[in-house]
Amino acid sequence: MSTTRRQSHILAFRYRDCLLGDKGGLFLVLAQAPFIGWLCAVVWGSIEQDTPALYFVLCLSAVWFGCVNACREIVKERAIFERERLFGLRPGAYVVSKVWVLAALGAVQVVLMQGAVEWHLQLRGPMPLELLALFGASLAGTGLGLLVSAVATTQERAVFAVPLLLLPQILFSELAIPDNLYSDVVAALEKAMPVHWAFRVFEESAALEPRWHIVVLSLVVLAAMCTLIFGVTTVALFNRREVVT
Amino acid sequence: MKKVVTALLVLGLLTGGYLGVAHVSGGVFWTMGLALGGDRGALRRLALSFLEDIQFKDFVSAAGYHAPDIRDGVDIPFLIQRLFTVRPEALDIMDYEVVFADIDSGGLRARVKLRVKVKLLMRELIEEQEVMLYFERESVDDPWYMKLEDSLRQLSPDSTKQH
Repeated sequence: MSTTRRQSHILAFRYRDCLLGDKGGLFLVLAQAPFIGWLCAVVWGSIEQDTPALYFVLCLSAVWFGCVNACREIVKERAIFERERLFGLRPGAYVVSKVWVLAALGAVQVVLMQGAVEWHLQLRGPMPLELLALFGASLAGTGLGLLVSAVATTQERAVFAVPLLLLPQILFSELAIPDNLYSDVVAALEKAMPVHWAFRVFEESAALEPRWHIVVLSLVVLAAMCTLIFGVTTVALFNRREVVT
Repeated sequence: MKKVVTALLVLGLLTGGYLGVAHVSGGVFWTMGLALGGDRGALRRLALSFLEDIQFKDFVSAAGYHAPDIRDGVDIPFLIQRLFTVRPEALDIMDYEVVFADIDSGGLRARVKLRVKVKLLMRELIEEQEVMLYFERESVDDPWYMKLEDSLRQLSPDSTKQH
């Protein structure tokens, strides 16, 4: 087993144990997902049908889960990370260990959220595909959260940065203004938003005649985005930082 | 060996837990072909089975979801024409799914909303239609019967009431 892989395994197990040790915190993190799903079901249940706005809210919530789960996870233990780097810890292994655990957490959250919605109101389109899109959105959110956490100097600053990541997802979307009114810049920026690609999966798979190649393309773009963000996060960690605790 | 047993145990627990959730949800989630979901699950299966009969133009079987006393008199092709506003031979039911199944507080009346994707063959047009099927039963121990014939029958004015 390569050094990076071995390190990421050990760190992932340690991180998992830390998360499982805080049962109250874990419960709150997991409970928010079905709660948001239930709120969606209450709103859209009143018209007894799903709409594109519901898909957008679900995709945005998935990115939100990822961001919130991850935004403090590096900065809070930066001192430990810097110390362990002196003994050969690789930034890549460290990021991978965080991604493994947070991805599992995000997967459970999106299943709970969509399960809560489907419990009351069956959505159009195949559920596994929509879960995959939500998982991709959650993973991209996790990446953005980890990136913020890698560059932030305090936990408070990392938390304050989360709305700055989420607001553009709403602003550069069809929910703000119809896409036929976009300028070229807005259209380009929209394509840089993970929510946009997850939403495309929902929209296409719910269409009367789905264009499956667009569904596949959107999932591929989401995966590429995640890889890119995790890569940038790793690079951001290469800078050694003095941590005053 | 211990790892295999633990893995099987975890898998069994997860499957059991999932099937429990599928049952409590009323058959909203895939039940792996098991008759789970209680009354709501039964209604979902009835509605889906009815639409499958319609899809394959088995009108005798489709009439069988009505109460036995009216079953023979149910004109399913005519009801389909009224429901989809197209003649059965010009209708291709491509796909269908249950949106929700709902039972009243007394447990004797129910409604199932379905989303049906149809192709209107004459016009080469694909449409999505939402259909509500109504069911009733005499008591909670009796089987559910469909009220399609009731719901779609041409209304005739009640001569004893003002209009």
